[in-house]
Amino acid sequence: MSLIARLREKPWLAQPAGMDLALQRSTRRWPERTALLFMLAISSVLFFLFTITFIGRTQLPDFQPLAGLPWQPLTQPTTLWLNTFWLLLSGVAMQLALRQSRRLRRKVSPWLVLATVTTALFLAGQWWVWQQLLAQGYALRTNPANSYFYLFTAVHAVHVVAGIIALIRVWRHRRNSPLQFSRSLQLCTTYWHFLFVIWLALFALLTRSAETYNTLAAMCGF
Amino acid sequence: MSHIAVTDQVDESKHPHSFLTRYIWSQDHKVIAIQYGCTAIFVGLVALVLSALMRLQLGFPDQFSFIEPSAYLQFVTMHGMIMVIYLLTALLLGGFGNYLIPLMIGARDMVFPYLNMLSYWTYLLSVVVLLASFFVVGGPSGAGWTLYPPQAILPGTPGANGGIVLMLLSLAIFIVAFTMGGLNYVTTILQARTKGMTLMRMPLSIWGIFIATILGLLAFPALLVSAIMMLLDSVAGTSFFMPALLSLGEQLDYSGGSPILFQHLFWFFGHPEVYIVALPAFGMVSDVLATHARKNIFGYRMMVWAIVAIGGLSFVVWAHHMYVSGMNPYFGFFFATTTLIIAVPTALKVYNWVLTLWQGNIHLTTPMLFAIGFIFTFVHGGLTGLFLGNVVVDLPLSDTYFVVAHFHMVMGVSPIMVLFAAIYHWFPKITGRFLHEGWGKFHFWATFLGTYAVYLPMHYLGFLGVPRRYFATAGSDFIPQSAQPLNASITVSAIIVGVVQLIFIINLIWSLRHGKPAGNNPWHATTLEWQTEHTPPGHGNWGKTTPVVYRWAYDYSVPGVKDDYIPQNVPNEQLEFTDQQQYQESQR
Repeated sequence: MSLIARLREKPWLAQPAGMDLALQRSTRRWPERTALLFMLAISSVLFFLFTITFIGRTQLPDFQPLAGLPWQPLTQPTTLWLNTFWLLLSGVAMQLALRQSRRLRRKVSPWLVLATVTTALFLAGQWWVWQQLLAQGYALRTNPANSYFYLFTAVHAVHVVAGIIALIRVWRHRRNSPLQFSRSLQLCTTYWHFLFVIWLALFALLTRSAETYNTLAAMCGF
Repeated sequence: MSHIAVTDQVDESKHPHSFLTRYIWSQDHKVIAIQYGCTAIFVGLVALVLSALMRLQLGFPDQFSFIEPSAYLQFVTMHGMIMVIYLLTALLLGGFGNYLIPLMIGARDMVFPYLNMLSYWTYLLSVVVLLASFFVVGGPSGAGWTLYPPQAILPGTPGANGGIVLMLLSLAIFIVAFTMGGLNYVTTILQARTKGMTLMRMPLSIWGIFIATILGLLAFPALLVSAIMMLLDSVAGTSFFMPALLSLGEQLDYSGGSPILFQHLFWFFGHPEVYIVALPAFGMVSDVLATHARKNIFGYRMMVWAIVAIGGLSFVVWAHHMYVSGMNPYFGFFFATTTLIIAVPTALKVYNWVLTLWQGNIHLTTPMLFAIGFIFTFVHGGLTGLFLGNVVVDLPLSDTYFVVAHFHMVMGVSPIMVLFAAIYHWFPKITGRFLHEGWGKFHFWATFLGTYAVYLPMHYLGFLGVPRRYFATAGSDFIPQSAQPLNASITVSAIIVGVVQLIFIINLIWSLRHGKPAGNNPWHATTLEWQTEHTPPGHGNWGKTTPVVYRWAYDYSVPGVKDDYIPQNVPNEQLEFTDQQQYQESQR
């Protein structure tokens, strides 16, 4: 039943015995999934709000984008492309692990190992980018663009680490019940894809030139 | 699946046995609710003392040498922040949300009990961090509860070194705690309702808590974002919000940031926060009114739609807090319009409460008195909101005592009235005993009349132009001499109201042991929490099986039925009639 129809019910009318639809509805419950969807909504709002402040901040005179002109560090973001590849690979590995667990095969663990390792490589790669930027003199406080780069990647990394912790917990309980395990794994996989999508958005956002930011800001009304 | 154990069967092995697991590290939603409640009331009392100290300075300037200007600002800041977030949000959602959700929807517990426990302990940590700022060098932040940069983190503002950092940290921790709790509430409401409990059969308390929690989950990130960025500005020297500025003749390292950006973020959280507090109060007051007026709530569907509509609209009115910030004037037009629109569903709710009372069989019990008192204070605060929502009227009134009077009426006194109504109403379920009725009525009248003695004159002070947050206004030409005796009378009233709250606290403690035994359903209410096997309900809430719901939550005084209430879990076959034909006609 659609939400609108539900909100239009007239609950004050008595239901004749045996005719009460509410008692006949089957209840299929998966609270973990509901909670995850809310969690993703909250995280999306969080990144969205950071993004809005970022776009607002780009329009203030002291903002110097990290990309656009040849000498700027993220104009050719090779390391970031590599990191993106690691995160993509880990998402694929998660998907394959999920497929194995659904077919009740035993080959789940290798894929999960691959997923964890590639995710760790992503984090290490992000750390490497930080070091490169610092070495080139792009410190946290020297320019708001740098501040935002560190801030965005750090908040994303916190999300990634939380995902790894959740995955390890799921993994440790894999012998409890196959159904439970594959369902939990599905939630982890969804989360991994979410992390990838968020990363793509951040990657695209952080490596734009000043003109793109001006256009975006104009569209947002800044 | 783990949740099956929670929702459908009692798992004997999971009952806590030791004192520690039962009362301290408890995963039982009722114990967690009480923990939340006690902690919130404790910090609330701290904030009450702070307000009394502020009032002493305002009513009797220069009489109390220990209240220095900087201390006064710190009292203002901590009073506001504690009351709005650590008392109201925590008590309404952490306390009553936790207690009522599983009981009212017929669940055995929250779907994630462990997360629920974690939520409380994280909340406690945030309270400890906040209170710790009283003991650091420089004391707590004195930036005003809105914490506007740049002044919040600049030297010269009290607590600019330690206090503000602890405040922002504490807020971030609180948001984590709220998110854990909030995920639990929405998931439990969506997934753990008992058989027959459709969304539209839920009591309005649950609707209010549900929508308020969604608001909280989506609005608190804005506060988190601003807290993180301001923390970085303060600790790491970034310039997210900090413009280039001179401080004490010295050029600071900041450059180019936008303080207005913080205001937008803060109020994008801050306005929904008003409704995070108001919506659960709206819901609970509806249930108290219907129960004690022995009448179904007037316009149930409309009440639900109004809650949902208010929830949606509350995200597009935030900038009416910022008319004087220097933003684009067209914004003012837009936000004044949305502010007037949000008044429509809100007014609808008020009409429905009044119409619920109309021709009801009103029992003037203590909870009912508080609920009716709420209608008065809320209408009062709501009407002054219409003044302040309009740009041209707001400009001269901005930052005066008129604003203080408005928001204390609408989101201070009104939710507190509902909280008292709720405590008097549900205390018999929580403890098995009534609160003392005579002291309760005294508490009501003293609080109700007392708050009017405090806040009504403040409107007048606001019209005179007396600015808020000022340590002293003596010597200002435009403020007449007569403002001072008025201030003194406000202070005396405020202190009397404050002392009366001690009677309430004593009543709470005394009634735990000596209150009149209440039984399972002392108010003859229909909702599920009153139909439990034991009072207070045991771990797991229900006996062998969870209840089955056959009707909505407001079958009071149904024509032709013997009793004047039908509990939600009573099927039609078990009804006893005095006049069956009359009943049949009423159901057409």
